[in-house]
Amino acid sequence: MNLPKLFVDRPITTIMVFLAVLAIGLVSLAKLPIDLLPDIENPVISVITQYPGASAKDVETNVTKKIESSLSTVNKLDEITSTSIDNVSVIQCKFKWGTDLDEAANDIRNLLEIAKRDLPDDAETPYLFKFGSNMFPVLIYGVTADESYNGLDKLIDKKVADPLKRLPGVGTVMVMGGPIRQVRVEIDPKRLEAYHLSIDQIAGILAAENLTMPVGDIKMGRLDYNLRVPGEFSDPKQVGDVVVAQQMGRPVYLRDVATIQDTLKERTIDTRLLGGKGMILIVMKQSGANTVNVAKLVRNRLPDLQKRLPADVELHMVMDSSEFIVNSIRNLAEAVILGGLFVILVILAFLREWRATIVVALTIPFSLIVAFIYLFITGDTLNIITLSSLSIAVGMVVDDAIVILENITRHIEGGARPREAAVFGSNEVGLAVVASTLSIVAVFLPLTFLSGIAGVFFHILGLLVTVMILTSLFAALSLVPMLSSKLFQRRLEKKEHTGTLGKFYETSEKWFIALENWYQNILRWALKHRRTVVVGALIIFVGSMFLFKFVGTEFMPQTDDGSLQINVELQPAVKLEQTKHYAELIEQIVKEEAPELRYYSIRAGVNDQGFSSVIMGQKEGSNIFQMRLRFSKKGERKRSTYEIADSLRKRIAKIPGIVNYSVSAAGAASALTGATKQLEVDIIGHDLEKTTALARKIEGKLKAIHGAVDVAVDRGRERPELEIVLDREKIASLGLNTAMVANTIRHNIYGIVATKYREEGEEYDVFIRYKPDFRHSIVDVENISVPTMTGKMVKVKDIATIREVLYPPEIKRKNQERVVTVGANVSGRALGDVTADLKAEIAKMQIPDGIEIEYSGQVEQQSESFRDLGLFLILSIFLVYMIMASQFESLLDPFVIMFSLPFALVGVAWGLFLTGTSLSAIAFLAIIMLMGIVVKNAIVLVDYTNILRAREYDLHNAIVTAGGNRLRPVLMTAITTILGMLPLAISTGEGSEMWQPLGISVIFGLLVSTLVTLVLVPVMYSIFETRFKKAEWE
Amino acid sequence: MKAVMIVYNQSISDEVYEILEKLNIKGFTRWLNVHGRGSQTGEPHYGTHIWPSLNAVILTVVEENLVQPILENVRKVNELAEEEGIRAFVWSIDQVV
Repeated sequence: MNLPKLFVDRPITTIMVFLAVLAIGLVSLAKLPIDLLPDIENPVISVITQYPGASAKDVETNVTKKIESSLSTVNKLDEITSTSIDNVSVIQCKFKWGTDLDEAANDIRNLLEIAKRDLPDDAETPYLFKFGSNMFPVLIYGVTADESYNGLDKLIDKKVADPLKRLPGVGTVMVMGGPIRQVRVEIDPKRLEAYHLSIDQIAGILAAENLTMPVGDIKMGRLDYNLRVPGEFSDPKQVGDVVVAQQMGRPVYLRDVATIQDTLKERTIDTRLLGGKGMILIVMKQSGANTVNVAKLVRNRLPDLQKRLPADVELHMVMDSSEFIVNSIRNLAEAVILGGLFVILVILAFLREWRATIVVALTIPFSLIVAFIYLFITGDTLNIITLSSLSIAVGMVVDDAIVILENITRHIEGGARPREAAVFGSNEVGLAVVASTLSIVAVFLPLTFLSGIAGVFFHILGLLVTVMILTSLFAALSLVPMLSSKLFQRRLEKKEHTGTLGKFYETSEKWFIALENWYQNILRWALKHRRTVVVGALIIFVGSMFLFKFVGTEFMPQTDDGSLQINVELQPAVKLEQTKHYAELIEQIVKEEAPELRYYSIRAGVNDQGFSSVIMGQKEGSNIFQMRLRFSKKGERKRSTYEIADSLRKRIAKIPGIVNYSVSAAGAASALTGATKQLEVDIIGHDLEKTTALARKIEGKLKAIHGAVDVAVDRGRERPELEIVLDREKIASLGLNTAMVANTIRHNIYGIVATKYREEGEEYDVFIRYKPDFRHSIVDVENISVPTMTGKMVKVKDIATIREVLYPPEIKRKNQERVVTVGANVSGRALGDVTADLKAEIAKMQIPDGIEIEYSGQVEQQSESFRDLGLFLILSIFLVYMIMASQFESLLDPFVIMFSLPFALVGVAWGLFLTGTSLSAIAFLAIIMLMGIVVKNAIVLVDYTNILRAREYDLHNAIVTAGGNRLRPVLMTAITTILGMLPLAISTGEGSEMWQPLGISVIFGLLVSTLVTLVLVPVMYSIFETRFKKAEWE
Repeated sequence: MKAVMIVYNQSISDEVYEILEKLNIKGFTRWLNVHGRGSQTGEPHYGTHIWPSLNAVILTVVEENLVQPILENVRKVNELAEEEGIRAFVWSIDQVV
């Protein structure tokens, strides 16, 4: 099929086809939703089982182990990890990326049915929890209030959360850390004892009194009356008026034995915002809803809702994940546009002809628009991955058009009519263009086979670039010849350039010719000094490879989204009040150290209501607090969040009493690589003591390594606990059992919800417990009275001994083995270097028998994806070779071209070294891309040399002539690709860190390899021709 | 009667057709995609990767007075697009059926 002729003969059809595509593309673009990332589902399903009253160890043996062993057979399971803490077992099943989670969840449910039979009776039914993208908060607001603080939770729930939930796309709206109203009945145990009462009795009486019951109906005459007994409290004060006993004929009121307060619940969580009291409002989206749209809807609705609130209640934005998305997308869109403009300028500079420039430049919007259509059809979004793909491709899509156009122009200069020249010119180089395009496809298409998280990133990139490159090939063979035939003028009709423009043309043409002559002289020299050139190239290559020693490695570049998260862990069992004190201390430090701070919130303690962050892999405890910081926008501050983090670490490290702390990025982008630390060492072994000791030792070593920060062991320090050990014989003789005693003690110390107080449709707990004065010492516990079966009271100290023990607060397991992890983040040094240092240290250590050491975290992901990418690098090289071999119909010629490949590495090494960038998976991707791009240039050059040789030019002459002839197209395609990617490399906006290594690597790699292509490849060509081919001939 | 055979690079086909049109020559025979090369300066036209261009041939039998105008025009085209290549050959026709 003669594609160019087909389109040149039908200019109207061509224009209609392209306008149709344009129209569909614009509609697609308007409908494309914006998001940060492709719709990736984190392939993790958690199984959560409550086992009330069990310690971490008991939970591990009785629940976690049993469920784990039955779940280990689930299909496509990648890894199974678990955390057993007091009362709760959390098992996380991690699947391979791309697993159908619904199917997996069904499998898990089936296996759980079987496992359930082995679980203890009082363990609750396990339930599944899937962490979807809808779990990630879209917006977080801080609510502060003064006078209205007491009713804040209901107020916000009703006036803000409920209306927000009705907005389309809004999923859960959570209110955290707010005050909760409670009617608290605080008992004086001495008086209770005097009246022979127990808390359980009082609870029973309250429940029985706070009751409204319909009792039937009676018919009187013609009417039917409903009968009811109204007993519900209508005022919290009535609780105190309840008669709880009779003493010598006189009633004993509850207020006689207790104080009743309408007050706030004593929370085990403390939330502070901007230094004031407050609570947090978290807005999450429904799965599948669009983050940007949801955030916009909520933001627009909020001023309205704010008006309905009392004046002292204020809503502050803590986090808006859509802001980062919109900014990143805007930055990338700018990069695409800017890249396109650069490319057009380059073409204009080379061709100095506006018609030709337009013809070539049109391929850019055309391929972009086809890419939009593709995204729309596949249901993808405009996200940082897809936009980066567009930005990468923008400099490459013009290449085909350039080569075709150049040849058409040559025919026109030769005297042919534009129409004829368009057809013949396109056909002549068509094959070479197809081959060089295929070599690009050969490096991008295999990316779609990548697995793991790297696959998630690169899958769409591979497809999208392939689509765009193929589109540009199509445009180069249809639109470009058609437009050339219409727009170009015949030689004799063409006016000579006159005036300044003409002068410019003349002068620049002279420059170009001078450049060509200069290059041809270099080529002549190089051909005479072949050995010098080859040895020199070898030295440059080997020398540059040493640079990689100074280039660090990491998995993914760290992004700066203007937020940080500080986690601090104090000595175990430190009470919340003390933790709050530390929180204030750090609050002060942050204010001093970081004037860039815009907003912050602090959460200390355990969330006793609703969602537990343990499920999300975070720690909670009265000794733990977490501070979220938001800084000003990236352009408005001088320091990166990493620099701020470093300065904060220095100060926090000096505070005594802090066991562990970490300062890490908290934003949406960090969710990409998971919440795990960058460097993690798993110590696997059953013996808790031995593994903990080893973990502490490794922790010490790691702390000493330069660059390792936030070093922490994830098995918390053993927590002191008081055990009340009952004397079974004694309690049995009193007619008691363990459960009865334990319940009594629990109700006294922890308390019991006796009934609910209802007001205006809301329910509030009526909570009974000992007065705080009677819950302060071991003696208080010992003096608790337990009613026996005979109605007499017995003291706890008479039936039990109290002892202090140490308990591990949690036990983690990985693939059914106990594991303790030493984790660290890396600052100021590359991840790979720190890991190497640590490995060397660990190699020197004595590892006890039965303990194994494994590396996980980003290190694991890094080595996994590097291995994968390495494999794909080899695959790409093979594919590129195969394409060239068929193009040249020769097994030898491709080798000549492939000599330019190593020099792409030279460029990458220098680029990374000079800019101080680490070799990340992204930079590795750039290396793979370079294999295709570099070859592309050389194909054009060698192909033309071959043609000249076949036209009976002698070797030397052919090489020099081809060099001069092909210099401009080679430079042009290389420079357009380089400049197309320049915005990616130099951008400093939000999210730019991600793709910077790619931009830098491609630019430097292509620069060096192009220069090498222009000199070394012709030299290698002449060597091959004279040595090998001659041998073949003979 | 004379036979005029014009061998030309396909990329200047239009120019050749114009000659015939201008001189109102209606009858001709045309071969497309023909290979060939010139004896002196001409590049080969093989339709291959090395020599991608192709020739075409037009044979027309005309009255003798038309031969000179044809050759004149061919010369003009040749001057205009020398790199593309065009040649004309003339011989006598003895009989026509």
